[in-house]
Amino acid sequence: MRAKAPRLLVVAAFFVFGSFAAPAVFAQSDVFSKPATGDSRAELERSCAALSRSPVMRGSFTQRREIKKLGRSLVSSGRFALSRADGMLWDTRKPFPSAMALTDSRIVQTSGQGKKSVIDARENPSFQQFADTIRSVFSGDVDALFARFEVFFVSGPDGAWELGLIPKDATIKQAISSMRLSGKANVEGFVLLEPSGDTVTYRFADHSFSEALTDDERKLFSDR
Amino acid sequence: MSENSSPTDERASSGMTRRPTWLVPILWAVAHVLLLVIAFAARPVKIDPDLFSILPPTSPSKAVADAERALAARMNSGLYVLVGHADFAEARKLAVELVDAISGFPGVDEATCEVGSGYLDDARDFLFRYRYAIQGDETIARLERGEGAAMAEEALATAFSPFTLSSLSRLDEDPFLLTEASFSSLASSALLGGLAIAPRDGVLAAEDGGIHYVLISVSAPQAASSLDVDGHVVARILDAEKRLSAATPGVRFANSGVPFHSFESTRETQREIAMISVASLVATILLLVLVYRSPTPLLATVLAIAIGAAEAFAATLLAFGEVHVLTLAFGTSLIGVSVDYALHFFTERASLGPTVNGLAVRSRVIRGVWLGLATTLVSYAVLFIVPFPLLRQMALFSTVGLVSVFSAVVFVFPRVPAPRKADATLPLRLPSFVLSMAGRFARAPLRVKLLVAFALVAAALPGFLRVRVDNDVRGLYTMSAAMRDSEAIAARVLRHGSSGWYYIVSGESAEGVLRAEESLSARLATEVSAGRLGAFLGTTRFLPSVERQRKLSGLISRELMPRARDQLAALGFGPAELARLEADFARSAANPLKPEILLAEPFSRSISTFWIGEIDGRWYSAVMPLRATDKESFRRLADPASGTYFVDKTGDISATLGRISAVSLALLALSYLVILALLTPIYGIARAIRISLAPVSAALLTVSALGFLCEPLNLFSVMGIVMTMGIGIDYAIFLSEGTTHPPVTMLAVLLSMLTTVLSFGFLSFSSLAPVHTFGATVFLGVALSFALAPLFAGRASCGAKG
Repeated sequence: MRAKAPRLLVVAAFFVFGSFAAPAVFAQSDVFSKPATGDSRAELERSCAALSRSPVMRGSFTQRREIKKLGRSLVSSGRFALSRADGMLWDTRKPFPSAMALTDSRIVQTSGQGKKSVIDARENPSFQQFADTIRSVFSGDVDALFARFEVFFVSGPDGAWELGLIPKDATIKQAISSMRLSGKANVEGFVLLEPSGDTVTYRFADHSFSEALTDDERKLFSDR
Repeated sequence: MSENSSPTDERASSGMTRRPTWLVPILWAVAHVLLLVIAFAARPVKIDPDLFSILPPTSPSKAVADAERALAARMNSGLYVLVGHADFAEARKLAVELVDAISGFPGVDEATCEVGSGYLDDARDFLFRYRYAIQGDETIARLERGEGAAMAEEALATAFSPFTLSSLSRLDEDPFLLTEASFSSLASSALLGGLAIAPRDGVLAAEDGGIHYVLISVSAPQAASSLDVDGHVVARILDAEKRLSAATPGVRFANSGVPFHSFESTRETQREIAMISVASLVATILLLVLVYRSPTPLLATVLAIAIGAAEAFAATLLAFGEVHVLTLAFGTSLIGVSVDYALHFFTERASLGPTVNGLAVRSRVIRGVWLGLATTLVSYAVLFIVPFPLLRQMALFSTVGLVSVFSAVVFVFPRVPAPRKADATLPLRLPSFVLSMAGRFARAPLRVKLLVAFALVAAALPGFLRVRVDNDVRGLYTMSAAMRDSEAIAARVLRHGSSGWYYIVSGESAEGVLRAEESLSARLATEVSAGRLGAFLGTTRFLPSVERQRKLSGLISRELMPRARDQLAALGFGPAELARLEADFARSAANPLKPEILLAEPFSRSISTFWIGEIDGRWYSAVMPLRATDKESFRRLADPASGTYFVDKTGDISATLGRISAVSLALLALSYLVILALLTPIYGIARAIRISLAPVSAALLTVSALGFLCEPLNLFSVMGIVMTMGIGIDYAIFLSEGTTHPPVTMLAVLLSMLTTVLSFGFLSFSSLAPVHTFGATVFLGVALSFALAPLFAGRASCGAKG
């Protein structure tokens, strides 16, 4: 007798999707009333082009996670690297070191002791979907943005811009309510709002650009 | 030979000596009506279309069989539809439309394609509440190794890292992120690795060969056992799919689930039973009309067969509580076999003319007819002894039907008015011709007969060499091409990798079962790490035994709780939170998770598939291995002595069918002896042996023919051979029975052979493998018995007059 895929597998398939905790509301401006069409879309494309002008962009970040229910914030800081070829790297240094490298086929986590854990996209499609969502935000690929999100955009006279994103995919929306990116010449801020009300706020600084990742950075992408 | 016929001849020639009374036919009618009334009053009419229920029992005990059945009922009632389209959004839209349509069908409990967050939140909440009770093997191993400090640090690192996949809103109650640990152990690649479907835009989707499929799961509990072909849920689903296909080009559907298969089989079977019965009846009616050219024999025969069929149905219903569709399919052959007795009677009557009364006619045919019935019943008796419920049903059905028609011929037909025309001529040219040929051959010198026999053996030899014994139960069920493709797509898309075998674990109590399952899981986990097993599913993943829960509690208490204060402090919490955490932990340790608690959770509906529960004082659960490489090594992991059983339904059934076949062959030999014993007092031992050699050699040639035709030799062909013995012997008997009008007798023999062969021949057109094999075997066997009968008939038979 053939056993049919029990619903348990269906449930289990869904288990990889945890919720997202993301702290701190960043800006009060209501970018979500300004959909990106026509002129504003052109502006957006210009800003995104700036984002992806080099193969690799790196800098430092401060992360503030605000847990609404507990009324607490968790603050950490570290360095990040965005590589068009390899993916995204978040290297948290304080208060507890750990690294996370997101590529289009897997996610490699390195603990403070150097222990690696790899999540393969093929084995975990939902986790990968989620990682792809995040990567597309930072990729500067405007078409990808419009495909995955409802896009909102405002720009100010001093060159300051703000990009608002609301996921179209209902499954992703269960983990991410909305995202905002802001900056001037570079991306300076990123806020992720969760359905539970928690927010994660990032501030970016010390931007630098180069052609390729360093060896140390590359090591964090590998599974060894 | 002559001494047998003279008393009846005298009586016949003396004219009307005894009038048949009405009493006997009335008694006959009363008995028949009584059976019908008793049967239909005692039992509701139930026809069983479930093809899995016919299979012989293979379990070591009744309780395990019950456990298997409970599990199968749950697992087999699921219906899955995959809606495919090159464009995901389109596939999703169509899936939602189809779900709307299906939800409205009668008999559907639930149809859904959407996976909202509610389900997931419930599951996560459950894991949070029982975070001190449910943890994976890896976590327990780490705690045992004393890695509490490392685990605490990792939790902190996770809390502060970007894009964590854990909820932190209960960080104060779960500073070690135990919920997350439990979560990811379940989500680990061992379980899901290879699972192609994943949530996407609120539905479960997967991609296969460029097509995006969205999964719809339908719950319709009665679907697998419903007989109603037109209003059936599956029929409606197929209709809805057709409508959507017409409206939207480029959409594809793949259906999967036992109800789809049983619907298809039921529909096929019903169609075939109708066609075969009609074909048999029409052929029989044509023959009767052509031969007798009078409506009376036709009416009487058709009525007798109809009543016989009704009695057969009633008796089977009474004895078994239900009649299986396959029994009905086989039962259509009854038409061709039972008509033989009527044929003999009416042929004899037509030849004797209207002046001879019914009883005299009867007395002339009774011995041959009675012997024919007796030998056929011996064959059916073999079917009855074999421990295979379906065959027993068939045996009862056919036996009652035959006896009923026979009794009609014996008790009622003599009362049927004779044909009016005094010279109702029978078409005797062909029978006379056949008779003379047979006679010539029967009188041929021994060496000619030996030569023919030798030639036959030589011709048959290659067939024998090619014959293969194949009791693989999978060969008994042929899927339509459409269903096969559907299932292939479903297997690729769902990629769950179950292979049809699993374990049933039992214990004296719920706790006992859980412990036994955990011990099996430990062995399976070794296989997973060795790469011989992809994953396995069982209740203990969500419901650990109390013993394991206590062990985990102890480890947490030793490794993590001492660090609780520092952990909370690092996260910004103080003494209040610490006090609450410790109280929580103590309460959890004192209240372990029990089955009743889990099963009351709404989300546990899908998990509870494998928890069978209590049957007759013992507790059962199932463990399902996924993507295993080699069945045999897993069979060895079971330990029936301690209550862990390896269940391989297809393998076990195939083995059982093989065993039953072997038993049947032995019974066949026995039936041969019984028939011999029946014939000896009447014909003497030498002639009895010679008569019975005809069907035996026919049976052997049939086996050879099966080899030539590449038909497998399986239980159903063995059963066919059993039937050949019982039916085929009739012709040799009739040819040995001397009569005053050999061509007349030959006509009756020819007619009965034709009707029998036609009946079984029609069966061999069936698409159902068992029916087809059985029909083909009997068709060949009976035809060959007839052809070979003269070879074994003595010189004094085939036409010598008394």
